[in-house]
Amino acid sequence: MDTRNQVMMLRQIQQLSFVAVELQLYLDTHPEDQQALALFNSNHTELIQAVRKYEQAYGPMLSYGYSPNMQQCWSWVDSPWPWEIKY
Amino acid sequence: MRKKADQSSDQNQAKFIGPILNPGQSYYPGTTYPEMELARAYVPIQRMNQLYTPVQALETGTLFPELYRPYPY
Repeated sequence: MDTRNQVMMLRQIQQLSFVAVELQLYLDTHPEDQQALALFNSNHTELIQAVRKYEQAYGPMLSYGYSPNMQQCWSWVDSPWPWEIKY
Repeated sequence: MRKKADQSSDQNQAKFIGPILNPGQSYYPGTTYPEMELARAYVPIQRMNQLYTPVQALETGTLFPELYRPYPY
């Protein structure tokens, strides 16, 4: 099975998550910085979209928290474990 | 055991935690440098300027070029 696209999408999610953490830390010390707030929000939107797109293609990333269970069966058990994905 | 000087200053201050030091008295008795103070750390506030792209940020380990060594400032 070709996992290149899956890995690419996961990488993008990791990158956007990292940006979210960095901006979160910056905002901890600069809570009024409007530019940083705007960046945080636009990055957050991008991250959520990336996660949605990934989950539609490859199944849920978390057992709960990101998306409802959309299938007639419990789709969480079909997702690969993190260590099963070949980076 | 506390010194007399400490006890008298207690009466003026309603609440105090930790030792009151007389001039020349060290925080840790018996240290080599009696005038030595506890450390004070200073960190200048970060000013956001340019940002790395998300791809660069994850590779570099920071989103902020000003926090990447060697520091530009």
